[in-house]
Amino acid sequence: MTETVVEQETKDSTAVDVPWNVVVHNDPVTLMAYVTHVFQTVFGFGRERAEKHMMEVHNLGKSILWTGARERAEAYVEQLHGYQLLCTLEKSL
Amino acid sequence: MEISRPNETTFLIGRIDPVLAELMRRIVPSADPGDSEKANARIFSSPTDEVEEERFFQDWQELVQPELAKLFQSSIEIVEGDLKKMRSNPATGEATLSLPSDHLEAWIHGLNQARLVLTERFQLHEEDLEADPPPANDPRSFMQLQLHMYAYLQELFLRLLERR
Repeated sequence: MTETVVEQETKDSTAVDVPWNVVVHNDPVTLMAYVTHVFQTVFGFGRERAEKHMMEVHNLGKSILWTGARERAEAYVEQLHGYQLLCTLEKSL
Repeated sequence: MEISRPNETTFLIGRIDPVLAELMRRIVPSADPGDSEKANARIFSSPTDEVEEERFFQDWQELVQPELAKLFQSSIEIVEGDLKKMRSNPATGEATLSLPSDHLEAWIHGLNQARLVLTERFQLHEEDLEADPPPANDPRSFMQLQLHMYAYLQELFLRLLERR
């Protein structure tokens, strides 16, 4: 599995916040190069890391791009929808 | 097709094949989901699969979706504006497009939207995208050509974006 960005929380916020995953799902129409570009743009990943996540989406059907506080996860989901990727917010198990 | 860079802020795309130029003129109408439920559902997909997140989904529809619609529309308007300035050589039919480098993102986005909407509106499946071209009299053959050419342009513009 590709390494997922996990936000470092303070002890206080960890106690009250359930971590949330930002999950991107496979879509056969959207180009792989475009998905890589979006991951680089939104998360600031280098190409190699962005491509690893893109391949995970392609091969496994989805990839967790980020895990952390709800508010920031929602902001990432909104950004990714702005690029028309299939993306959902999910509770981290 | 020839690509040059007359200055730091512009790409000049010349000798665009007449067929490709015609397909480019169709980007804007192709990206319009109209009243297609499937196309609208695809470009405004749900941000959650979790049943208990109904409130989040409602807020999203009320607050976020209109902003997304504006964002998508702004990209389409940029593409439309650039296409209005595209000129064709009457002798050869080849076109020339002047593309400001800060419009590349909008083009990449607009092309992506056009591919998503076409696929949903015409109910193409993954196998249709990969398969050999259908017979020439099959309406899907034109759609396949359109999708492939838009993918080609999207990849080209992604490469230009790296050189910006």
